[in-house]
Amino acid sequence: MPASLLAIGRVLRFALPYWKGLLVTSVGILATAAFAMSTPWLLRWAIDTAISTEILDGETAISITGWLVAVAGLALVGAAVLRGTFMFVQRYLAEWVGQTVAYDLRNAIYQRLQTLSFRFHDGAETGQIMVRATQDVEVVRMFINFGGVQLTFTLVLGIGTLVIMLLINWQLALMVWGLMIIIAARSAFIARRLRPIWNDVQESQAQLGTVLQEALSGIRVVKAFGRSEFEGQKFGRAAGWLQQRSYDASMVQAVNMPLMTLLGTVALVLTIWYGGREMVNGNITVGELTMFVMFLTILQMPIRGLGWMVMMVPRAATAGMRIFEILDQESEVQERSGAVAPTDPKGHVRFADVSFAYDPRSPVLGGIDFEARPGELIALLGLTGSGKSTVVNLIPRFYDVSAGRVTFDGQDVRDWPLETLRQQVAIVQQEVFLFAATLKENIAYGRPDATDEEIEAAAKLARIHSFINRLPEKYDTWVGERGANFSGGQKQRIAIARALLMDPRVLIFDDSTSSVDAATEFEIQQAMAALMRGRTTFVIAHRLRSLREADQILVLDQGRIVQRGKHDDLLQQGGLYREIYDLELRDQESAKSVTELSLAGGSA
Amino acid sequence: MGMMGGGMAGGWSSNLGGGGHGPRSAWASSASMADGWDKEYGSLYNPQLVRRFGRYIGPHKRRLGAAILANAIFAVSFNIQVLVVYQALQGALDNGVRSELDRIAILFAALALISWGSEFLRQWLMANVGHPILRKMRQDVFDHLMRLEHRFYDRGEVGAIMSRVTSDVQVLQEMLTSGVLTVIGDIFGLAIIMAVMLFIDWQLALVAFAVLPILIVSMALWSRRARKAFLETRVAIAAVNSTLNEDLNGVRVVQSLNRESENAKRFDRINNWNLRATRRAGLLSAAIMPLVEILIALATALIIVVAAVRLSGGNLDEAAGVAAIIAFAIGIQRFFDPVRDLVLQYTMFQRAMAGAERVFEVLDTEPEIEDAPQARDLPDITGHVRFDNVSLEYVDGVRVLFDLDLEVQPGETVALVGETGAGKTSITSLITRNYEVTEGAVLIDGHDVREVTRASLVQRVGVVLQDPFLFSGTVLDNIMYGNLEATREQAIAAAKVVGADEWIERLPQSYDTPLAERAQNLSIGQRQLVAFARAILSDPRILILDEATANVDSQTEALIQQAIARVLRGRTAFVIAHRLSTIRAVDRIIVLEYGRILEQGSHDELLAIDGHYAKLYRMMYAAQESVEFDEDAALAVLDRMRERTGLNSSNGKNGTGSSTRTDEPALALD
Repeated sequence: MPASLLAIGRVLRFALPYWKGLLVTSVGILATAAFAMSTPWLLRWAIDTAISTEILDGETAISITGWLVAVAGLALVGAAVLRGTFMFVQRYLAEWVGQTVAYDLRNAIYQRLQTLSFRFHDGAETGQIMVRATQDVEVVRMFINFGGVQLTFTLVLGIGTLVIMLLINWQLALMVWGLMIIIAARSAFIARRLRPIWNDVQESQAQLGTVLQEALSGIRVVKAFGRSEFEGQKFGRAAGWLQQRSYDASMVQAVNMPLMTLLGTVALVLTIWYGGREMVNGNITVGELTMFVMFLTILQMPIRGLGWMVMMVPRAATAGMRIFEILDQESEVQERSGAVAPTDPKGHVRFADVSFAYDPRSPVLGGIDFEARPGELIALLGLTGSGKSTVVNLIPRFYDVSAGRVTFDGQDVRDWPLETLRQQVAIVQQEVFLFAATLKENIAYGRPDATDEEIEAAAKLARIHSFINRLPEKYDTWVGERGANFSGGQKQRIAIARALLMDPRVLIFDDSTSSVDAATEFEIQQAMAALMRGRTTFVIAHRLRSLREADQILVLDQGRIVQRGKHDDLLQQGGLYREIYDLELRDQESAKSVTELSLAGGSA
Repeated sequence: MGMMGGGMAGGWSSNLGGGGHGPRSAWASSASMADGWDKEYGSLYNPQLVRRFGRYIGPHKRRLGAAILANAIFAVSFNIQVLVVYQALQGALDNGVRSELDRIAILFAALALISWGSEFLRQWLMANVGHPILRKMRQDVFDHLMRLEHRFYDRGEVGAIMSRVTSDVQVLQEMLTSGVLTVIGDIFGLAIIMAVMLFIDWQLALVAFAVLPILIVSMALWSRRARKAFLETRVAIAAVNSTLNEDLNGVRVVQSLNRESENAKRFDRINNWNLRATRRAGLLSAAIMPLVEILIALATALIIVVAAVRLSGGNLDEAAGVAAIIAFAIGIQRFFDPVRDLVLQYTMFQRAMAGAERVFEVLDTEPEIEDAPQARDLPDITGHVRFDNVSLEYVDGVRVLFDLDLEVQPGETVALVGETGAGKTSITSLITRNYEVTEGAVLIDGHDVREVTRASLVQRVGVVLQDPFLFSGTVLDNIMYGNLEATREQAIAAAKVVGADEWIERLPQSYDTPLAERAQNLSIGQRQLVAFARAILSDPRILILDEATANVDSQTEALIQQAIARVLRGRTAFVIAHRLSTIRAVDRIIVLEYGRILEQGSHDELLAIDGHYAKLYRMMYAAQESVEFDEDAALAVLDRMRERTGLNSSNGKNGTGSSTRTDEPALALD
């Protein structure tokens, strides 16, 4: 429990900056409750005093004071106007504070997620994080809005009316309040019972969504295998479960809601029956009886909702804990204070006895030691899992080394300002991620201030310009969800243009020409010759051409450099390089020679 | 998502000027979404739509009738209570008879029980009607979607279609069940309470009703504004969530391109829009309750004043007057509640109508390709495929295949070669009858594909697409997708054939390893291998590989090349590929241009005749783009950018311009 209390405390601390709003809200709550209680009281006064109803020996006698009636009428309307105003202010401010806290929380979560290192994102599930940033934030907002505000209102109103009722006729008050407490307890009980059902409903809704999403996204596969019926059954199962749980929730409500109404009515019956007797006996006045009846009407709704409000507290605590789990994550990659970038960056990269492990028990890299001088082309080769990608991810400091050091222009990358460092190092990943924006915005993603001319220049160098120009809307073409309307090769060239526009000193191609067909690859290779001038380039690709042109090839095996050198030397040496060559690369020799032959023929 | 428009690529690309992989609608996706928002609210009553609900309500007619009856009973028993209260008080005040009170209290309690029972019955009945209807409607929409062919999906977006199955159906069901019943109940309730009030004291009742126009007018004005405000909050929060989701998925790109602060600003803008929208909506939603309460108080005050005037004038019996005041204090609340509710329901009805239109729009889209009435199952085949004078139009008048004649012998492997838009994918799509031929016929072992059932057809034809879409579930589940009757051993055997067994065994739970969202825990190549295994598990006689190796990383490529050789053995195969090694290995290359076959033959034969293939071949491998622009000029632009932004030299003056760079040691490849 202390952990959840702590979470509630932290949630409230987010509301603290808006204490003025909360203060006004609290005043509004008290005023609203007071004025809410004033209506029945005024009605009583009107009946007892202005109309002066009295029961004498079974006979009702009245003596009306005209101006008092007018006052009562005006007071009733006036009190309602005031109550309405306060209620409006209080509700609006509660919503205002709740929404503002939600806004702050979302911004905080977003910023934290954007700055957390790859290590966090490697282990995190997008869906889970999204739930926290959306549903959990919503729960917190509801807690501040209703849980906090409405709960207070209900308590103030409840205690206030109870006191007044006790003062007038304690027997009747106790009788009525006994029923009210039953309603409140029942409401809490139902809330507790419905919660797991509603969680199930939510979960089954998500499941239904997954089936639907998959069936629609993969419709071509569904059709190709004639699995429409199979998918229909899958959907039917998910829909069936959803229906079952929704039905369960409805049934609980179907039993409960009428019961609540019944209990409320029973309270009314008791009041009329017992109160009527007391009235006839002269123990309470007509006005007081009316006031009792009115109180019952006012109390009905808040008391029915009490269960939900109470349940909101533990829910908010859980949601808060889950949100703070993200906000409390510290990025392992932190900029050192006072980090200064050397002037005139060259792109000289050195790995000095670098080790790396995601998990201390299973090292990924060990004893990596090499130097890449400005303008050099370094190729990394190795089987899947040999650590090639990890090596290059250490240069822009997406992860921090476990031991040893990576230097950029002689300065440890950990001493570089992060932003400057990453400006110097552009990486083109194997799986290209495009954003839902125009092509122009996607290419200028890392440099939003780039001019059209610069964007086009980068696109030309990446051999994507003429394709873009053929599109109806050219650079303003909208890139759909994850670039679904582009082929793999097109996406990669867009990513290359995006990296080029960063004008980095170090360019990294992480197997990024794999989806590109041979013709395009050739074009990109050609472009790269120009691009690599003056840039240090790292290439991870099992492409013979890259390997042949590399100034240095690093052959990795299980996180260690097992061979290094130039293509011809390595071929002579044998070993792993030779094995990979024989297995995968030799075929490319013939393809290449044919290509070059045709090229020669074509240009002739 | 993948290649939503893959099948259409051939059809549209002539309009796009070549190179486009997506259909036109995908380019205009943002516009179509905006259309969707406009149609959030429909007209209140559309008889045609209402009639169609009839089909869903039909089987539940009795229950629905019972529910309406229960509704009526509830309305009567609940509202008549006010009359009972009045009579009890009047009796007590008039002659102080307590026995009267007892009798009335019992009556009251009985009424309370009746209204309890009827309310329960109503809710119970509604749960039993509403949920099955919702489920049936969802299933119908889904099944219908599964029946629709490629042509439909070429147009729409998954997200938009999804919302029709989920939220639109939900809104519709809410309106159908609780909505309609609430309205009926409200109208009943309103009628009864008005009658009761008029019966107690018609003059006081009319005074109370006088406030009604104010309420209705102000609520109507309110709901018009609120509708817009709430719609904006929905749109805004959707924008917040999708931005968050997207940037979370692309966080690695964001960090490597230094976009954190820019993105934070952008997110804040959207988040702030949402904040302002919710505040505006909050202003409106906070206003409604106070308004109603003020009006109730106004009515109460008016009743007291009028009652007092009449009492003092002797026009009203004392006991009756006082009792009426108290009864009206209760009655007014029960009078206002349904009125308020009805105004709110109005908006919901409009939303439901718009939702209904969207749902029925899907249901009304007839599949163009359905099994012929006398369709037979395709018997065991050898894999002989013949295109007999086939023409195809995706859009009327825009022909993408012209009088195509093609015969492929069992066991033969043909490669379809041509530029984008030549009709490669169109040809393979016709084999599985994803589109209908405009003219001519496609025959498999002599059977016209239009005369056999599609289920049996797709069973004989295996397809591997460029985007290896995998489903959630385990690796094994995904392989079994190809043949639900296969045993685990057969699935593993299929994986072995394509050379995937080795790495699958190394996965944490080998074949039972669950796949992550979009199978992110597998590399693209691995996903493609699973897709291969899936395709051959049904042991198809005909295999279509549509750019199946395009997305494969270089390491897996070698594996797949070997797998293809094994997989194709003994099967008729159509291969669309741009990898030279794949094309060269086939029996016959078919060269297409603008929907016509230009030439066919083996690689060597075609090179020898030095025709289109040879030309295409040279074109494909020539650096055609580089002649279209001045590379040095483009580089110079980037150089100038560096000077403009001064990012790469902190003091700005000793820039690292082109002069510095050309001083660098020249690369070996120059």
